[in-house]
Parts: sequence; C-alpha cells; structure tokens
Amino acid sequence: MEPNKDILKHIKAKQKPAVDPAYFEQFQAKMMEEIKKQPKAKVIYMKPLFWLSGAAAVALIIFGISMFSNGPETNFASVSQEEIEHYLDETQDEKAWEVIEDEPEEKTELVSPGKNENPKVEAEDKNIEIASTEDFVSSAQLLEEITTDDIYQYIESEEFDLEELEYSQF
Amino acid sequence: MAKTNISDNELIALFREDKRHAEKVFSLLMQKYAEPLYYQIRKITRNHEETNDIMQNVWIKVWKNLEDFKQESSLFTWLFRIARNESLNFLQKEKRHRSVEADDSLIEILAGHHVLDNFSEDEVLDSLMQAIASLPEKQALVFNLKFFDDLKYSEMSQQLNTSEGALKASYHIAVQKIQEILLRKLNLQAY
Repeated sequence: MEPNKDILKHIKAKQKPAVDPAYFEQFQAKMMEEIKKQPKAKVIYMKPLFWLSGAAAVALIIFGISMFSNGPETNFASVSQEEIEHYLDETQDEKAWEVIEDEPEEKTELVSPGKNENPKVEAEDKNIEIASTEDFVSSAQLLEEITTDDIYQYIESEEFDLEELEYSQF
Repeated sequence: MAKTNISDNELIALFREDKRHAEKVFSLLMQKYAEPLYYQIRKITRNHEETNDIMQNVWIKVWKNLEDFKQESSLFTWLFRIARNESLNFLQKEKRHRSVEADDSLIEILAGHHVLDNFSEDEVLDSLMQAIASLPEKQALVFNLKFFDDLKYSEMSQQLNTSEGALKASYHIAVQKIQEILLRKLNLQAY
C-alpha cells in the first residue's frame, strides 16, 4: 500500500481559473482613481477607545496643571495652632493627631545641629528642599506649554506605527 | 499590458523620492504585480467577486504603506503578506454571512491513496488550504508558487530575492508540514 505520507503526490493542481484579460486593466484604472482619494502619507489609526484614553489623559494633565498653577495658594503659616486643633476636633481624626504630635520631633532631629554631626549635610538637606520645589514649578510650567499638537508630533517623531500594532497578525 | 523592466528597488526609491511621480510608479507596480497577487488571493477565496474586493483593500494598503516598507523582504513577499492577511481576515469576518460559494476547483485527485478516496475534491482542497494557511508566510508563498503555479526555482529566486537552494529547502519543509497536517485532518474527518 502507498505510504500515507506521500499524499501530495496524489493531488494535482489544475490550471489557473480563467479571468477576462481586460479585468486587470480595468482594475488598475479603477484603483488609480481610488488612490487619488486616499492619502499616501502614513495614517496613524487609533481605535476609538485609544482616542478616548488619550483625550482623557490630556484633560487630566490640563486639569492638574490648572489646579497647581492657578488655584488659591494655601498659606499654612497664617493658620494658627488653635485653628488646627479645632479642625482636628471637628474631624475626630485621631491618626492626624498622631502625625502632628510626631512631626516636631522629627523636624528637630533634622535641623538640630547638636544631633546632626555634619552641618554641611544639614545645609544640603535644605538645598534639596528648595531645589525640588523649583523643579516642581518649572515642570508644571513646562507641562502647561505642551499642546495636543506637540503630543501628536512626538508620536510621529518616535515613529510609533499604531496601524501596524493594530495589525499585529501581519 | 506590458510590464516594466525597472527593478523593485528602483521603483520603491522613485516612489519615495519623487512625490510628483508617485502615482505613475504605483501604476507600474500594479502592472507588474496585480495579476500574480490576484491569483494568490483567489486561491484562498476561490471566487472572483471576493478576490476583487480583497484586491482593492490590498492595493489601498500598499499605496498607504509603501513609503514605510522596510525592504527586509522582497517586495513580492511583502505584497503577498498583505494579500494573505487581508484574505484570511476577510474570510474570518465573512464566515457567518458568506453567501458566495467557492466556484473554483483548483485541484484534482489522482487515484492510489486510500485516505483521499473518502473525500471530494472540495473537501480535500479545504483541508489543503487550511494546512497552507498554517505555514509561515515565506513557506506558504513558495509552496503556492511551486505547487499551484509551477514556477521554476530560477524565476522564484528573482521574484523573492532568495537563492534557489533556500527555496528548495523551503518547499521541501512546506511539503512535509502540509502532508502531515493534511493526513491528520483527513484521518480525523474520516472517523
């Protein structure tokens, strides 16, 4: 008996199906008209959910920036100890009391020259505090300057091929 | 329609460099590859109407993406990849609503193999096409060009920018895999 594995020897391809010779010319003419309506440039295709997520992220960034840059500033120095205690009484937040009670001790440890053997380190600690506040302000300004167009340009410059990702089975 | 003698690489370079002539270059590409691509798609759909629909999608994709084609494979391999994926996606989407019957009989069964005796040509062809679809794209293309189109390795070598030896190896592996899958499928269906 013929061995099973040679099954393809018993299958023969037939001739190609006949196609009207004019078909390819007509098809080409039709496609040349069709591509005039199509952009040749790379199309970044995003699914609707992707667009919504993007829009939500941009909205959150803008909302966050406006909160930090335009919102009323809270001056904690102007709040008296009595007011704080009153607030804590009202809110009955025992945990908050613990934090308030612990905080001066920690602060004393950090700034007390007696406990810190290296005064240089103490000065550096202060500098770090100042520097990080400045960094935060400049980042917020920077974010404020970023427009939606900038984000799209970034996506293009990084050559993210979103269509290809979507078409991953390629 | 006379096919252009300009090489694929030159056509791609022209397409990218000179925006004014992009349409002309695209037209030359269609002259060269529309027919072979049509038959690759038609093997999968087995009817003209669906092949025609898929052809339109394929060539629009080519128009939009040719500029970004990385040339890591030959142009025909890239075109075949788009055509194959478009065809398989199309069939997947249309599976439930497919009213068009396959009108091509692409194979005939020769006597002498007991497994094949139990099946019609259409049933064997269905299993064969499924087996081809499971192959990696290059093997599938080489198998199609050799088995169905009876293309010489020398011609295939030019078209796919691959050595004849590599093509022979690829075809050999494709045949082994297809036979194995085909036998398994048909044996399962028989019982």
